[in-house]
Amino acid sequence: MPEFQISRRPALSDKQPVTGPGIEISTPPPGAILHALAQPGDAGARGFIESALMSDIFSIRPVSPGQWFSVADDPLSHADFRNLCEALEPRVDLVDQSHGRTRIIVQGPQVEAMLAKGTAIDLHIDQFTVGSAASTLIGHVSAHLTRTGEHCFEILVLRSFAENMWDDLVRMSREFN
Amino acid sequence: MTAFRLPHGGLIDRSRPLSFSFDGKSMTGFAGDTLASALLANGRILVGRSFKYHRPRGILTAGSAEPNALVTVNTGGRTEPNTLATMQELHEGLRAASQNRWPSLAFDIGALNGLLSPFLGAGFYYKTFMWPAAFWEKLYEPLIRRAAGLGRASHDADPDDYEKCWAHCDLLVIGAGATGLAAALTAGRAGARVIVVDEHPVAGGGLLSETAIIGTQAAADFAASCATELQSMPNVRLLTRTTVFAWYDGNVFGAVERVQKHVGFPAPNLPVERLWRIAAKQALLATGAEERPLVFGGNDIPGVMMAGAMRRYLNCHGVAPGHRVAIFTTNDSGYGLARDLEAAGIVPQAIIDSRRDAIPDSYSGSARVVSGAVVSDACGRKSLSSISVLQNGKSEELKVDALAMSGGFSPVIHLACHRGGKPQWSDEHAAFLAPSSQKGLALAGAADGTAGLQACLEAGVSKAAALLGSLGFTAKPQALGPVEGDIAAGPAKPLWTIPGIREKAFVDFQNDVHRKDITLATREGYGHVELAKRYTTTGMATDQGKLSNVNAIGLLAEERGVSPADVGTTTFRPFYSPVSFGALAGATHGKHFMPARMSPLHEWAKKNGAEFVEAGLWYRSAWFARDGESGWRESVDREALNVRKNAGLCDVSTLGKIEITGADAAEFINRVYCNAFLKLPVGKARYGLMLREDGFIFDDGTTSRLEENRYFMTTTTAAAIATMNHLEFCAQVLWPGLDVRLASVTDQWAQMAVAGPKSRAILQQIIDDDISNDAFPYLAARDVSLFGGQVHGRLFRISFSGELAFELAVLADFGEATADALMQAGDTHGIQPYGVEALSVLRIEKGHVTHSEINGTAVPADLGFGRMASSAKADFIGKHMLSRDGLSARDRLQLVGVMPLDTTAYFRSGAHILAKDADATLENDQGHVTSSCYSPHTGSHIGLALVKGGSARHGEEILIWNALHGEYVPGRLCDPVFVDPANSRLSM
Repeated sequence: MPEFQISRRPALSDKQPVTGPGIEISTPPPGAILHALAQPGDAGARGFIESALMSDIFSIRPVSPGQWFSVADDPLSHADFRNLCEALEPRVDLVDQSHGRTRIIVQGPQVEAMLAKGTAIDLHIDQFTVGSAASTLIGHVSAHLTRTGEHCFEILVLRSFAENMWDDLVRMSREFN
Repeated sequence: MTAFRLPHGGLIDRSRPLSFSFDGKSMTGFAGDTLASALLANGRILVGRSFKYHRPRGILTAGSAEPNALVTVNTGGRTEPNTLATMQELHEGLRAASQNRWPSLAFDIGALNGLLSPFLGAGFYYKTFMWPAAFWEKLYEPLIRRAAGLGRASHDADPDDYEKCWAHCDLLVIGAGATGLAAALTAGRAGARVIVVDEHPVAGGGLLSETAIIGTQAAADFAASCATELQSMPNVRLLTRTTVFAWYDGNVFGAVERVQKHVGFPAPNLPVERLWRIAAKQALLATGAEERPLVFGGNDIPGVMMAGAMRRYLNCHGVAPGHRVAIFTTNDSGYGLARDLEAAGIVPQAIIDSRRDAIPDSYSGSARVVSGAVVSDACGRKSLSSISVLQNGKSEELKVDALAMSGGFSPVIHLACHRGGKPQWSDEHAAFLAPSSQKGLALAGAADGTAGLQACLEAGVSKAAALLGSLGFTAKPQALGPVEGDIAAGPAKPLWTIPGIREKAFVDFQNDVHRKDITLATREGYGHVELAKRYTTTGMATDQGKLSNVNAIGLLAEERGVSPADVGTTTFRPFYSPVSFGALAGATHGKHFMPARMSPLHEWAKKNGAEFVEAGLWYRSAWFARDGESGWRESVDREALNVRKNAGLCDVSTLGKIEITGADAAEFINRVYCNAFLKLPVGKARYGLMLREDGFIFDDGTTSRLEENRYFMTTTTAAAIATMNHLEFCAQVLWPGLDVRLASVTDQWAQMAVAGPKSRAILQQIIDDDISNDAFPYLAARDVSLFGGQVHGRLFRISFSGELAFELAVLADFGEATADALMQAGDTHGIQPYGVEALSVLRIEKGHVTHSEINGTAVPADLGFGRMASSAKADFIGKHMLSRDGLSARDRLQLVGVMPLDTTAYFRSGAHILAKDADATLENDQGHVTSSCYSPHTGSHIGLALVKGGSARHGEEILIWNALHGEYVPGRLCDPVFVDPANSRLSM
């Protein structure tokens, strides 16, 4: 029944970006988030993933031993996803999380102070360098936090909690904007 | 005669007058005042009534140890009872009121308690209100609470915001007095990440009361320079108005910052209080020392004040304590006060020094010194009028309106004892000191028994340098000073028992515990420090004995004829000082109380008229009301009937979904389910039952094999997280050798149950693949293409309703559009959305279980799944414990259906099942109804129940008894499948 034109409704589609001198909060257009799971004990898996996924398209976020998120700004077609799976299996299995996780970008000169209201991680630039990532609670909700710039962080949160996370971040940012 | 504002001096800003009121009376103070200093400056020395005897009380201290000056500030939702006037900063429009008095502070009926004081000593509750027992709760306790109490909390909602925050540092310095500032400067200059915390609004601690010169600066100016330098360092955070209240494991400190408690109109973008959790690699306690009161008669009369506090009000706030001032001291502290009073033009009437020949060389004032003497009694009612001085057996009366007292110093070591360390008595320091060598925490300055400004500055520098060295920093200690004009108050012999006392001599001001109470406790066998605390209440309430504990211990020691070391202290625990519930709750109230979890079909459900129900954190569609329907039951009946007649669409996205991959995925799944999964073909789904190690059912769900080594497991909504954790435990701990990989994909998929005889016809309109019964039979499961290839999804031919049914999963962002399309495609087929209420009706009609039946006490056979627990499998979780005799007993609670004999009768879940003619008592209980509903298809209420030996009792009449509601419904046990027991509708 091809007459149906199916459109996406991302979790935060009705949210307006927050802008201010201290903090900016935004959600990028839907991209691709692939959960890569390596064979247990495979020490070289990360390099294997990086070589298989184009580094100019995907960036890698460590999740836990043997697991990574590969994040791209553009969405991936079903066929492209299947091709990537075939390229990596059986050494690495891919699970698509592009719809299951929502990306939120928080940045600004006060971003560390803002996030300190939610996470117990020490976000000092010397301790949590650019590229560092960790799974952590932000407020009540578990999220995957990555430092993508000196004062810029990416939050990957379960889609179902995205709205709650957004509202909490807005609350945390009020002091700085 | 009373306290008054000096014409000049102090650190207040006289160019900024502030209006405030106390008990409705308008007064004026200045910026930089506390409420206490402003009250004193206005001549108000009576500020409260005591807890038990309602004795008039004045301001005793200038800090957080204050036991007397507890007031209620603000009104409405911002009402803050038990606020310390000594810590509350003055602001324009501040409204304060005294507490625990009626009808007024000056004339308090409760003061009659004082006449009854001979009967109200320690332990009077236990001796007086023993009988009749029933009177305690209804009469005695309410009366006592009304007569003795602190402030009253407001019932209005607090309009302000609170929040919590984390901070991390190399060195946490607690206290920004001389020691703390020296330590922080040393660490900050070395490049370490430093957090300095002080409970007062301005850094400086005792330096703000001090008139000594440090280097070339007055002490207060020196403190200001240090604070300015610290604030200029990017690696240093100076938190004032912040109290560190606890030391926790992991070297995490709890602190509360009073962000906006000092302003009349809090800014809406800031919290009023912020609770910090500070993770410190090292911490330095520079909390100083608390001056000890002296236990003489009438030591609680307004006008009697700690010497250090008097000096604080004098030098920091420009407030004189009175015109005729005396000083009673056991150490050199009193002489510093005397010198400063004289500089302000107030020559003390006398310095009464318990020592003989102990006038410090640094004191050259003109006050009369009475050595080897004590103040035995103070006289006056609502204000001090005179004191009795006892020297060499002779008593002399002095007319005074203010008396300063100093019984030595107790290092403030509370925090250092929060993790199990016990204070150690030091005869050398005549004080309890913190246990030494505690990992992550050091003490310096007066908190460590050091006396004198110069020594404290040096201690701060050297301790900080040592701590930094342990962290790999190279600090260059720089000397601070020299100090001139300091009268260092070194250790002096404690004076616990004062002779010649006639009046009540208070040990614990806040709890009205006086010296005779301690004596009584010892005499009656409660001399152990922990027992004495409970018997007398000394050391309880808001100040937790900051001033009183050491005197109570000293007196107990003398009563028992032992050293204070043998008495020891009570246990120090968080919190150091009271913390508001607002700060503890932080932002987690109202909208932010708990996270709301939204299905990808939430908006679809909303626009279709869903009423939502909270299921854990999820918001699930309960039913979809239509115009003209009288209530939820009518909606639910309609939805359930329509599913069996036409088709319905239900959001089941909240089910847990786990993707399992890896070469050993099949073996792994075969081990975690009790039924066989090893040979499940690709493209097929199977119902699975997961047991706990003890053989009881843990969860159920379906698992589909999508590829050779890729499975899709669904769990119940309630157990989704627990199941994921269980699987991770199995993979990582039980069988680390298996190649199995687990990913939670609950949020990746929007999942819809499309159920009913017309479901296939509807789905086929949007699914590109053939889903006829031949091409896609019952329990088929595979990827499908939708909308001409626009979307890919996963289709499962499974049914919870007992009808021809499918579950369709699509990528979450496409969920709403897909559901819209299904509603459009199904319009001519009569499709309707249905919620979890109708879902529940449909599953009860089919005898399908949920966690109402999988309640942690059921094994597979109890629910009719006995044959699923495969005896052919070598092993699975729960196999061995399941074979225990008791788990196969015939009289176990077993799943059964239940119906009322009268089809119009109604019964509820939770009701008990009794034998037909049995008495309605719990002794006759034979089980209970686990699920119940009105079944529109049977025209009766129906239920599932767990009943003793139930599977063999179909047809038996029973009584359904609900004791809570007084309901007795005759019923009959039956097969738990009420609709289509042959399952013929599944395979249409």
